[in-house]
Amino acid sequence: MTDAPSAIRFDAPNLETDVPVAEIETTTRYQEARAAMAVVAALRDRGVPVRDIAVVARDLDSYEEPLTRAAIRYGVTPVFWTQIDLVETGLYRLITSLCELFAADEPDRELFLRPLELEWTPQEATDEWPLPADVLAETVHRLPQESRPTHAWNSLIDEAGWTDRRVVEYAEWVARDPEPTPAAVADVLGGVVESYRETVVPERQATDSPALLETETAARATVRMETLVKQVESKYSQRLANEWTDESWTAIHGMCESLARQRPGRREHANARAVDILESNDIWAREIPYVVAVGLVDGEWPTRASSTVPPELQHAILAGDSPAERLAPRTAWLGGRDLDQFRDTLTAATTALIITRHVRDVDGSQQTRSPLLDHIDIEPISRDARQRLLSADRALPSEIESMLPEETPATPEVTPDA
Amino acid sequence: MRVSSKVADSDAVPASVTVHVGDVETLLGWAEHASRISTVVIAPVELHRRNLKLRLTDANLPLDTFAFTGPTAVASHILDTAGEPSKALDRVDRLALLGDILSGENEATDYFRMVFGGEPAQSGNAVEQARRELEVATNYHPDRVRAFRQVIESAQSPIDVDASDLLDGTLAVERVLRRRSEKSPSDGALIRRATRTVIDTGGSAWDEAYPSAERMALVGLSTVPATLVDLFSAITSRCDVEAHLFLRRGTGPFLEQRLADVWPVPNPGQVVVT
Repeated sequence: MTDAPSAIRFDAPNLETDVPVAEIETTTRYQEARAAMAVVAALRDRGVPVRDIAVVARDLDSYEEPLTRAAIRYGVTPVFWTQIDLVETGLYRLITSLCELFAADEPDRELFLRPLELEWTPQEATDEWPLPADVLAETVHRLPQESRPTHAWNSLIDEAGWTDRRVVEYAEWVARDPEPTPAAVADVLGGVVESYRETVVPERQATDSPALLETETAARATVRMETLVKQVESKYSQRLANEWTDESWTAIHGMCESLARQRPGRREHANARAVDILESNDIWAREIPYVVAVGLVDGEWPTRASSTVPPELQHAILAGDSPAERLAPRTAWLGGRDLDQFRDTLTAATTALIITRHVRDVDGSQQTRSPLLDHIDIEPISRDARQRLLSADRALPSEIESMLPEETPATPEVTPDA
Repeated sequence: MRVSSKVADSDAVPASVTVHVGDVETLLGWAEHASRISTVVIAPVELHRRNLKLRLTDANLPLDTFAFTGPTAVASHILDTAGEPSKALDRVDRLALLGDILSGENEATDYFRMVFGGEPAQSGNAVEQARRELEVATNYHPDRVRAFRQVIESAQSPIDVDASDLLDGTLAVERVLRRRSEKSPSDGALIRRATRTVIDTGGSAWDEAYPSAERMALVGLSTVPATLVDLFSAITSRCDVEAHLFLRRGTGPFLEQRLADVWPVPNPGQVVVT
């Protein structure tokens, strides 16, 4: 444990890049997103097919919204590919547990209480929600296990003197037994997602670790579920109208499943008109002529990996001196993952790489250039060229222009993007 | 740049293991028209499987000879074929169970109260992260856990005390999780069981699960967790199959060099008992 942390290097300091790299510096993240989308639009104007362009961010959470706005402005259709696995989130489980419960004629105790366990919360909650674990445990303990219709569960719970009033409220809500209509998808399921956002997400934030990992996942899941519920509602009514499905909670459940397993925003039909927007971890092994990489800001890309292992031990394990040599090193401790993702982004671009970054965050504090850019040969884009790119002309900076192969047809495609 | 090699010319790693840094062309080159699976591609990141399929289709290469899968699915398939239980708790269920464990009074909560402060039940995520980090480093193998403890002992005070509580708390939690869950409590635990099954069956568990496989490839990782090192070690020591690790450009050379020391442990998949 004697080496200084700087003694561990993952790769050679001077990187040879196979393709030219240009860098656009902007003031804010929003301006940066606009610059990125302006480049995409300008490349499209030059006849570059949309499938030959991809936008890459280290973490799409902070870029999804600005990139979406910018895409609208430039008439580009974006497709976001993100990592969150919806089917593994508590909220998704809650929604599908409700579908299962409503689908059952005579649920047993487990099925009946499962949504409560998954933090079901009423709209306009006044009591402490979600139901505390000890109240739930007590309820499970006291209720009989056998199956019965939901209205019977409701009377049973209502008549029992010992039940917590929150459990009574839940049982009444379930006993309304909503019909499996598209409207119920929006009102009932949409309503549950909304309550979850209003009650469970803030509660998660209050108890979460400083890195707010769980809050972030819960918040992202909520956004995804809102979209999913809308999709299910519209597809379900379409399919009902076409008589492609029967009207049942089981059918709704099935649609939730098939939509959740698609990547969010992923096109259902091959739509060659949308620009792929990826997280940098997902670009591994891809080959795309034009790659626009956003967010090359220190602290974002690379970002600091959170860890429960003290830095001294991290270093010992990375350095691998005896006795630590038998331990598998986690390279993210020293920015290894972010370095890999940057190198993969460099390699993915087969014609040109355009890098963007911003210098001020929302509070106006300074953001520094990513150290990942230190050792590569980069063509900076001048302020004027950037202004012209962001103007109505959306003039492609000459530095980027010169990266285009000569045989690229100069005439724009006839069909517009959106 | 050196593109592929036997691991650091080491005797510790079998000759059937090859490391490739920053190259996937070798893998694409294995494409052939065949009615059987000859290459099992293990990509922990789902989109990486899609990327490889895209590359193959773009190059007009057939996909039929590849099985694209993830580490947990491989473990599950091995266990399934061997007639063993093959399900693991997912993260949501594990966090719920962890919350329950941490809200009681037990050995684990004593340690975590010291490490994270406050009520351990509020530190479910941190505990889960500690559990994962320790699993990546050691796979809970007795030899590696011992090494981890030695590293802790050589750290300065008070880091040694804190880290020691973290280690003991995590080991305690892992034990309780195993006891409390009918399924394997984590994907890692499932992989360890598959690893032991391969060893205990003299390799036939793998051979029967992937009867025509000539090689397996692990792709797209920036860290090779001890969990997967041990699975690969078990399979290559008992079966006639090549193992290829496709590492990434940034960390590949570093990981390759460390692999020779991480690889050899007796009885891979064995779990520490304390």
